[in-house]
Amino acid sequence: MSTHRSIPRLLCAPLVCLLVAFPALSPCWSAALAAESETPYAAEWQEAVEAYQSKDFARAEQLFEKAASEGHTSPDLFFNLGDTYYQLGQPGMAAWMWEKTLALAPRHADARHNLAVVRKSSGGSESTTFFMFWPVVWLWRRYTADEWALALGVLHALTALFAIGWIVLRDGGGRRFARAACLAGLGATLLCAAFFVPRLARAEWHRYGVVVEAGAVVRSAPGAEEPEYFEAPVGERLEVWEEPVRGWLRIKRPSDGRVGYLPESSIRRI
Amino acid sequence: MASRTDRTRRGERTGFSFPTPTGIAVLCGMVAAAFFVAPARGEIQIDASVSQQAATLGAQVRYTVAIQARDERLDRSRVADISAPKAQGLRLRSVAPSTNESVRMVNFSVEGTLTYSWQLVAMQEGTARIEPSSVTYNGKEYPLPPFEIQVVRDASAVAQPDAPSLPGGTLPPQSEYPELDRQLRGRLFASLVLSNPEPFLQETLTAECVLYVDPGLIDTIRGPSWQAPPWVDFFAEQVPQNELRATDTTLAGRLFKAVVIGRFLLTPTRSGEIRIPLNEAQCGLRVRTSSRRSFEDRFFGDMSFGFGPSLFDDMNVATVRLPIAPATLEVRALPSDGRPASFQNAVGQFEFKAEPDRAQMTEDDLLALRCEVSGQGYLGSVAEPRLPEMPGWASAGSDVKTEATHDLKALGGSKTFEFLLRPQRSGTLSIPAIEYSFFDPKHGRYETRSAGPFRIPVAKGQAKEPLIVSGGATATSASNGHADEPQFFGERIAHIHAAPPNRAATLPVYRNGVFLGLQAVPPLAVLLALGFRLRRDWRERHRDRLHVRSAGTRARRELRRANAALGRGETVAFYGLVAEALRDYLAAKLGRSAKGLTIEEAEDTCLRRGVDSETVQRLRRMLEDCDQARYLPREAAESKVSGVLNEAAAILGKLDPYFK
Repeated sequence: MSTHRSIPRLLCAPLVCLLVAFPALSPCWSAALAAESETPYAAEWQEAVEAYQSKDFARAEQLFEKAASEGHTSPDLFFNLGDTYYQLGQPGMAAWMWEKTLALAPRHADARHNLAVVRKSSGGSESTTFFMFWPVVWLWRRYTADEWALALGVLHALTALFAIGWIVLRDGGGRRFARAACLAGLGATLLCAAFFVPRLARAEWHRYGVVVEAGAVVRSAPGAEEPEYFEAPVGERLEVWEEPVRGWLRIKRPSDGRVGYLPESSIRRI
Repeated sequence: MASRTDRTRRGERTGFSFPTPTGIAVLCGMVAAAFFVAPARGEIQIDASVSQQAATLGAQVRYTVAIQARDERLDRSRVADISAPKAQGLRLRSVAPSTNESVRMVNFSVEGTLTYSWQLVAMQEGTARIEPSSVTYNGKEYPLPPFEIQVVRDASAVAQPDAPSLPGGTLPPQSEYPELDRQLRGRLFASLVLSNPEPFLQETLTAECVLYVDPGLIDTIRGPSWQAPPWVDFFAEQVPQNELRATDTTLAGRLFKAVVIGRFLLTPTRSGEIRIPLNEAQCGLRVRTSSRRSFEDRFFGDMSFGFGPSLFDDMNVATVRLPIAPATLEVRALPSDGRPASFQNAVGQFEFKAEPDRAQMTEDDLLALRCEVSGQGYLGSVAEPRLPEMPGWASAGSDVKTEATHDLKALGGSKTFEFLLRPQRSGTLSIPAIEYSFFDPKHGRYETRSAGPFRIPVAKGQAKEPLIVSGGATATSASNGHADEPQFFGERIAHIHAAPPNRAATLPVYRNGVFLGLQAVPPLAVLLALGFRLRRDWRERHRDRLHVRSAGTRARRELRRANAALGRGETVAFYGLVAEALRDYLAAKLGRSAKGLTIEEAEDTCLRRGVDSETVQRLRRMLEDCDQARYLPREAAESKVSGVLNEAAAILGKLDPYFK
């Protein structure tokens, strides 16, 4: 095989590795991560679900909130709490809960759907993505920082394994295979790291919030007398830039980059 | 002939490299000519200078003592009594000076300069003073003058003695040459020029970094650049500078060439005082200096290998930093008087248009009402128009499209809002006039534009299910539908999950110590593999040497095997192994094959190596005994066995020192 023909294959290999292996492995490590333990609040959960189904939403909210305030975190707990808030006529709080669901489980299709419903209802708009970036955005949205870290660890180990083969084996077919696999693994590892690092930054350092009050007005400066800048629809996700100053938070709207101030009470941090 | 790769593997140099012995000799000759052939006596001049005579609090001032010698060899050891300057109101950063020495030859005359520099920090507002002092060179005392430096609190108050009064305050240029700084003062500086120092909130203004250059210097300027400050409290849009153009400008009665080297369109996002911090422009200046480049640099340091113009013309490009003083903007809040109800904080000069996408429709259709706001101004301030009460219509969502543009002076473009409206009954439905207000900063007043009203005839529909706007959702439980599905906003949301979660909250894996620790294992394993590979390659490269060195070990291993053969009662094999151990030992040490090594040859070799004759005799006897024992009857051979192994081991021990 000539060199110029082998180079594109070598470049494609990391992407193919990542695209094929990662989704295939994802259920395995998700299952591995899942501790098959009994939910500590199973009784309250059942009671809350029954209250919801019998349309006693106030009681359901009370029970789900109790579980959440005790420090239990689960995508389904936040999702159900979001549904309950929605039924109680608090779409902002519902959107906040669904955002928390998505932060824990980005593949939670129901939470994504419900958020879209709330945002459409409140007149919010989603930023559009250029079609060439769809695969990147798809991968970015689908997996958490935790999953990217696991993938990175696995690819890291595999790459090292092939690198050892490449170093130790004597010239021959095995060594050639190890070299190709090592380079492909290295590419896949770097690609994976390129997803992991921003995801980690978003999970650990960037702060987002959801507008929970209807008619929340973003102002140009902190203060109720300052000029109005724009209205933030209920359920919109905003980037929170700084700690509150006199009860006002400095926010940035990701869709158009506008920066302003919003009362702390109008927003809940994810 | 060895290949290039082979030579590289052996660590040999394969490329051309400097310096060659001839090159070193030439360089030494040139240096000797510069330092020793110069006339012994000449002229000495010692002077002191400060980098600036006015400074802001906390700014650094450089105090330099320069010793210049013409036709005289400068010798550092002849300098005496040079000490750090005594200063009032200035703090010395370090007692030890930074020194620089240079030699240049002009018209066969050698000029040497030795400089001592100290950095001082302005600590006290008012007049700071550097006391007079003196330097002794070659036994002669040279007095140094005192200096006074005006220290002010604000940079804009720093007045340059020979600089004109300039907009926004200027700061003196800074380079690594104090003399150059002094010469450039008032002739080269940068300034931040704001088109409007008192804009309204969200009114766009331009901020330009302008380089003012003395006309005599304009041809020496190279690659000016501006490190713009962080535009906190602004929406900033950089305007690309495709080409730099110099225009004639008169400042304080002096002619300058003004070059705009950077331009931003700024929109303040808050009212009140906004301070633009100290920032900096930079440029290269082509200067005549031979002191900074050694001869080697001149000859080998450029790609033309000395044949370009830079070898002989003594020209160099010095980097000059041009600090730009902080500036303050007073952003005016939008007036509350006359603010219309439909005002939503848009600032600029806009036009407003609204029109429905169709003239008639049925109950089953959706109407798109497009509202376009276009013109000059910051589009970020343009919010969605508030629709008036529209009886008979229901909102079915909205969308927005922005097309931003800008020229050299202003931002602009258009923002189109599309409202989807669903008719709730048939008949002629009306959409009242839609108003849009904005603040026009040019005229300082609010303006209101309106569009409509519109009348749309709506025909009877076929009673289809209303369209669901949230088309992108793919949730399974949402699409399946439930009898008691919540309908709070008229859209279907996904139902709650009844099954209790079976997963307890866990620490993120990237924070798990075990996981992080495991990440160190693969690189360590690779390093180990690398070490193994290097050791293996080394052993293969030095196989012969190792074979010789391990001959003793192998011989002793053979003796142990012989001992095992004896234990099994194989006497003949025992003698054979002992003889083989000794022969292999000698053959390895001599670098030849053990086959054909006769007793006489072994004896000769040992004697030539200086082995004592007793040991040689014992070796010969041992080898002969081993040979004979093969042909002896079994009983006779067994009777001679005792002591053979110990004797063989002793012989090896005796031979080892001679065959290192």
